[in-house]
Amino acid sequence: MARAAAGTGARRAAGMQLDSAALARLMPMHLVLSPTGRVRQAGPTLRRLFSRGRLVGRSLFALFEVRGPNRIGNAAGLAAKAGQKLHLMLRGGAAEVPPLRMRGLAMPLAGGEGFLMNLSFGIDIVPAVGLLQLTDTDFAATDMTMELLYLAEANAVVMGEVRALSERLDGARLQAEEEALTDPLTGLRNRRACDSFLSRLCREGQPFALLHIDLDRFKEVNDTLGHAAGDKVLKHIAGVLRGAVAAGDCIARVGGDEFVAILPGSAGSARLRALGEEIIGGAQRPVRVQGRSASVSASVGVTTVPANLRPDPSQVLAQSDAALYAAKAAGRSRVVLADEMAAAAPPPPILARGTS
Amino acid sequence: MYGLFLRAFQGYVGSTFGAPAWTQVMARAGIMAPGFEPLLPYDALTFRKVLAAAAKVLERAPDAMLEDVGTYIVTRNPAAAPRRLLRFGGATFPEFLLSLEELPDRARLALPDIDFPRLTLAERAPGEYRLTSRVEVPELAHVLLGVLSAMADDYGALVVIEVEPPGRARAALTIRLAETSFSAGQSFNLVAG
Repeated sequence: MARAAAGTGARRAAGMQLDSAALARLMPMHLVLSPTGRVRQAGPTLRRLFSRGRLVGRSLFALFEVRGPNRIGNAAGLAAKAGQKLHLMLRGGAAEVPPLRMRGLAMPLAGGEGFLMNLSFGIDIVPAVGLLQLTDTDFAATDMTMELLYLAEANAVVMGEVRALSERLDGARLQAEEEALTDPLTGLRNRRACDSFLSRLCREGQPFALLHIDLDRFKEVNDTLGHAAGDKVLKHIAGVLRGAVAAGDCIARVGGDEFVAILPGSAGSARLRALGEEIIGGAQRPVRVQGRSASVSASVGVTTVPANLRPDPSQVLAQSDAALYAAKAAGRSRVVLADEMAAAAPPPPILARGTS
Repeated sequence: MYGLFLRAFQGYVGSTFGAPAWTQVMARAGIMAPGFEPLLPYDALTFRKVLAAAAKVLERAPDAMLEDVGTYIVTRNPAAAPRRLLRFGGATFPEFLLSLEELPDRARLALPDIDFPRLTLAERAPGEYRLTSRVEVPELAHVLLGVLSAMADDYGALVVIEVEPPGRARAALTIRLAETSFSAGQSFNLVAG
């Protein structure tokens, strides 16, 4: 049984007594301590921490490391900090749970009979409840622990929903971006994607080659065999380009029957010419459409940009355009490299940015 | 609140009747999006459209569907979150009933801008309660019926719940408690996992 009395002005309260059951309901985590700090009585929830070991008779200071804020090691220290917030840490080995941080408040009992101390789990409430399998009835009806646990869980649920929402939005954004950059018929990149890829390479001063491909006789196929045949030819060309060019390169359909392939890196003229010829060869393979054969060819204009030139993208396109025009003028199904064009009809120069 | 509810409705239709059925419901309701986002705001009109479309597509009475959604929210929701959050209301079913008045405030703790209807509980006789709520859509009483029945099972309580005919913008249910510990119910650990 504990005698609880307030220190000053306690004449009226001096006779107040509570039996241990009532004290246990009011403060399920209380300790009644002897004048030397030994446990005389403990609340039921606190006893759960020491369910296997002895609790009554042991010193508070053997069970907990007590600070307030300086270390408190004896009953005199505890008396000096009466009414102040104390930080406690379960001593390793004293209980069957890992060291938990707790907080407490001790008040002297009337007549020098020791102390009444109330404890609570502070920030370690969530692990404590899990480790000790505590339930609603382990806490005083006035305790806010249930609200705290509820809030922690509700918070986790909401965060989970927020994360799921951002993942769905991110997925939708990626899809929208992909669609915005893709030519729906061929699945190649579109002009917008091509411009953006070209601008990036120019800005970063990377070396690259640009192949500008235009189909020959495509209009004939469209006019004589219909648009479905034309679409089939365009898909065939897309397949040829994908087969000829590496995955990291950008292949785009930039107009009705006009394609651009951008190849990062420094490729020699011979390799680029061979690549152009491979594309023309592939383009010339006939495509079967409704029992009839459709065949086109291609002209290819090639331009190269060395490292660190950082040109204006429009100059690169103008030069590849000129090479393509030269290829068409030379009788179609040809590859013309801007670097090798006749001195009599040079392509527009590519200048470093800021010099034009 | 309609976001949370419509998302639960989507989960219920998808898991009970299949994903194509849900797509049909959305098409019939004339809504372009593939589904609802629980944290985004929607209005009562959207809710009514979806409910009417589902009743047509699935050939089910709206009230019965709403009750099933209530059961789904507590028992079949994959996250199991609502059941756990509701169990924090109290250690026994009567305590849980008393906590319902705090439910909108609890919801606001986690989602400060949630528009959750106020619930009022009155004890009319020992073990007999009347739960009322002012809502734009009084049919939501049937969702409450599903939720409360499932929670009573969870607590192991035996109850009889009746929905009053919907009034103007008011939902009302009568809950008669026959037995608070009819069965063992489901266990509940305060910390999940």
